[in-house]
Amino acid sequence: MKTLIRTIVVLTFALVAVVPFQVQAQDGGGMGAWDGCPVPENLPEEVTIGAVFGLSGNIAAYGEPQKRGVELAVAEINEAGYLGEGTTLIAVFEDGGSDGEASIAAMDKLIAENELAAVIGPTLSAQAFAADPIAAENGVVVLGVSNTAAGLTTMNEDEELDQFIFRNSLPEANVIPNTITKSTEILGLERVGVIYGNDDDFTLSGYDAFADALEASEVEVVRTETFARGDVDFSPQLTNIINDDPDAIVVSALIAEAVPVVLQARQLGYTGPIIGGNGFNSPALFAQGGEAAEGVIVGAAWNIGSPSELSVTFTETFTEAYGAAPDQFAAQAYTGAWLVATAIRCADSADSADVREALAAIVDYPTPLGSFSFDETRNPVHEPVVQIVQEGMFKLLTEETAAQAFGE
Amino acid sequence: MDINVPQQLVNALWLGGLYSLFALGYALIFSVLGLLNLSHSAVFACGAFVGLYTACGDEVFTTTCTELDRPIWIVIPAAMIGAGIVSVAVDRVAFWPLRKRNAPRMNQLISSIGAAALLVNLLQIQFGAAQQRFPFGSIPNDPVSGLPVVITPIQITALVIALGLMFALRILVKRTRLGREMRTVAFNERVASLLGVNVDRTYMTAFFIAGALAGAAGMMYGLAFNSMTPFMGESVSLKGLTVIVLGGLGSIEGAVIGGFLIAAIEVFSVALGRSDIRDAFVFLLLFVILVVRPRGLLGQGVEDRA
Amino acid sequence: MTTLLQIKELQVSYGAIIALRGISFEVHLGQVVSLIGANGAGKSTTINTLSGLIKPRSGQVNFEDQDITGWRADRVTRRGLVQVPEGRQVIAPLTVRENLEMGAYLRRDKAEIEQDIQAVFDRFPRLKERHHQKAGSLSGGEQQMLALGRALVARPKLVMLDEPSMGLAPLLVNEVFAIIRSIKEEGKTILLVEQNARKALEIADYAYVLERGQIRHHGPADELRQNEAIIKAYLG
Ligand SMILES: Nc1ncnc2c1ncn2[C@@H]1O[C@H](COP(=O)(O)OP(=O)(O)OP(=O)(O)O)[C@@H](O)[C@H]1O
Ligand SMILES: [Mg+2]
Repeated sequence: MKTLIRTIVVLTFALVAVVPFQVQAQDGGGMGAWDGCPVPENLPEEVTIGAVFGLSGNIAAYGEPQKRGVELAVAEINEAGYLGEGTTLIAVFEDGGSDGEASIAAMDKLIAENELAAVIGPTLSAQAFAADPIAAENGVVVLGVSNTAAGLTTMNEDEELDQFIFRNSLPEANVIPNTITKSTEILGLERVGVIYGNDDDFTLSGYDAFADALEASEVEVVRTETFARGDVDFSPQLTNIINDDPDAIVVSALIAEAVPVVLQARQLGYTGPIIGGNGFNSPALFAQGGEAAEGVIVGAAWNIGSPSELSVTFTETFTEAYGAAPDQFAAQAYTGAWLVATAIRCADSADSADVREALAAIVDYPTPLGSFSFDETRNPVHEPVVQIVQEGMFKLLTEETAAQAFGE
Repeated sequence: MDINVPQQLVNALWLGGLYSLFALGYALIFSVLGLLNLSHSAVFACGAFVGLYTACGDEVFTTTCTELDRPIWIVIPAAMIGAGIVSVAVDRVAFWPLRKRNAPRMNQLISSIGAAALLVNLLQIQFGAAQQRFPFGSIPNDPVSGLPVVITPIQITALVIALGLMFALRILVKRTRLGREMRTVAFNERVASLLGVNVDRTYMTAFFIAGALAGAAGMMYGLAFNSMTPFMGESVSLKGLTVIVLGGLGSIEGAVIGGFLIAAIEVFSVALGRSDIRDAFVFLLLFVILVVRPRGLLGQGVEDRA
Repeated sequence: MTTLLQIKELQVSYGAIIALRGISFEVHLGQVVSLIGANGAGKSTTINTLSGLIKPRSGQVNFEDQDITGWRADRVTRRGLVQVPEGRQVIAPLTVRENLEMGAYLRRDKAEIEQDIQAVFDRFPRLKERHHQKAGSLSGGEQQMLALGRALVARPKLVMLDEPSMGLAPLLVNEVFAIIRSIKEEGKTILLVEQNARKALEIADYAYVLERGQIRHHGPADELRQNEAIIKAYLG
């Protein structure tokens, strides 16, 4: 009951809050002002999109902000009449749980009960691998807004099916090289120690990307250490690395191991930069890492400190609507909803096959994530950001923030 | 390749203390019941959460601990008592009914796995699956200054308490009436009862002590890494089994030596630059010892447990 | 004469197998009463039922006029009925001394326990020499001494011995019976279960002959020793 009331209050608040933004959007030409296509004329009264997010259990920490991002975008799109006067965009949310089976069930249900122009989600890569083929087989385009695993958009035997699978979330392989180049440039890295989980696909592919990027940037790796999933004591490995006095410690780990690695490195007296992969991209880093997390550097698709006008506006509107700042998950979901709406608008059709064509054709679309395009394998192309933890939050890594953190 | 030997020794030493402490409870129950109590790792987690709850209050049921209601040191006795009680409950629910019916050992083993799953689930329902921790700064984990190595007060405390409890347990089992009682029950329940021993009560006492040791280990683990989840027992569960198989099932000295040995092997296989095959080293050693000495390092055969 | 132990119509079965078919007997204070019978007659079953290790199907066990039927074994021991089980059953991983200390498990009078242990050592010098040795490493005879000593340290009101001579060499059998006699002479009440009827009847005041779960004969030991049927079946 309490949550119901809260939801109603938040939603009301959200609707009220978007109004000033609306004015601004019309004036300043924010999101949606992509002049690629004219106002559509042939759309029905209601166009439905589906969204499969993990809304219950642990995973709700990601799914909830995603849902808010989509809701905010849909409210804005309808306010702006982006799909033409008389056409309303409706988002139907389905709880995709935290495993593959639950998202398959959610995807089945969405497709069976609705005439869908597109689906956004699911939250986890593993869920996307399980559930996306269902959408593709039903001719419904699916846009992942948080899946970063390699090969997602080319997962099917049948290339025709792949054509329906998109994502706007940058794969790790795109984020990491940028993280390393920027960090090397700003921090002047010469020699680093590396530690990674060697029994997990995600941390392994992250490690490969780091190793390649370090080589490309001509940074010497003085020591490489590994750990296994479920380990809690990293002191022996970190003692080794710290003993070699590196300029930075590079870590490829999931958040469960990332936090203790950071805590224990600090405990062992290491004060320098710790560079992490996407696994570090979680509020848990501050909540559980506390002061130890200061000076951790993480690449990301989006950061709240991003100075671009669209990003600032999005952050303000979102914060006003929900009383909490957006995270990367919210930003990507928000952008995803706008991308889908834009494709519907350009296609001037609610038919998913037409929407698919239009989505693939989007180029240089201004979004909070930056100027956005899809490449030929339906993966996102936009500039990633590099963040540094300072005073308990992610800030953009700049000469300034770096100097504050490491006192140079 | 350089190795920071003193620091790695510190790393191995205090980790060994934790492993040993955890394995002691396993060994104690094995020596009395002659079977593995696979719920021991869940009791370990329960201890940590009882400690957390005692120090933080109701807050931990809904969110994380932001403020301590009670001094941090209360968590250790609280965890020991709490885990001891949980352990006794496990005996009453998972072992006692089967023991009464003379069920095969295998059934009791399975039953203990069930108890472990149940306990972990209960923790999850009560405290959520997410990681719980003590507020920043509430745990003395800034390294002790003026030493050539990094060691935190909490690590020192853990090591001292672990060694103290091991010593106390040794005295208890070898030198006291209760110890003789437990060894007699371990040898033969019938004979024990003919001597006037209330066997059920002996079991409960043994489970309480084993649980308290697990609770102490769990709490120290939780404090040292400042992280507690309902699943925290999983990673030590297999280590503990390895330790007692290595040390000799049911042998107290074996559990202690095994704990320190495994920690040393883990740490030094990493220190020597082979973190990728660390677990392989541990299991290779285990394999060799089982081939050369099937009873483990200090195991003395079934008729001679405890 | 005071009746210490009184058994009435005791019936015991193991599942479908009926082991005791309603036996009744008495043990008076200060007596040695012997229960003799062939293999499988039900002797151990009787003694184990008295000790509380087996629950009877029906019947009653009174000890010092208190009904103790169905009591748990440790309570029976606490009440003063102490059994020396068949096959000795010393606690192998404990030392000789610890075994004796376990005998005194229910006692709290430390000083007197120590006296009693010393008394056992005086009685069995071989145990004294080996007091630090594990009980499992003792010889069969030594183990029987230890089992007896352990029961004595409990200061029982009634000692129940289940075939104390079983598996011992003839010389040792004599030694064991000599010890039982000396215990008797100290005024202890003893229920002695034996297959060795000859020896048992020599030492006993009164005896019961058990056959397939029933008492066939009973009477003063001297009389039974003269009984033709018994001579034929058990003493021949
Ligand atoms: N645990 C048991 N389960 C089934 N039957 C049993 C059990 N113990 C004894 N019996 C049976 O009960 C009967 C009496 O056995 P008991 O051990 O009392 O004999 P006993 O007179 O002590 O013989 P022995 O001189 O060989 O020790 C025997 O027929 C025996 O097979
Ligand atoms: Mg018998």
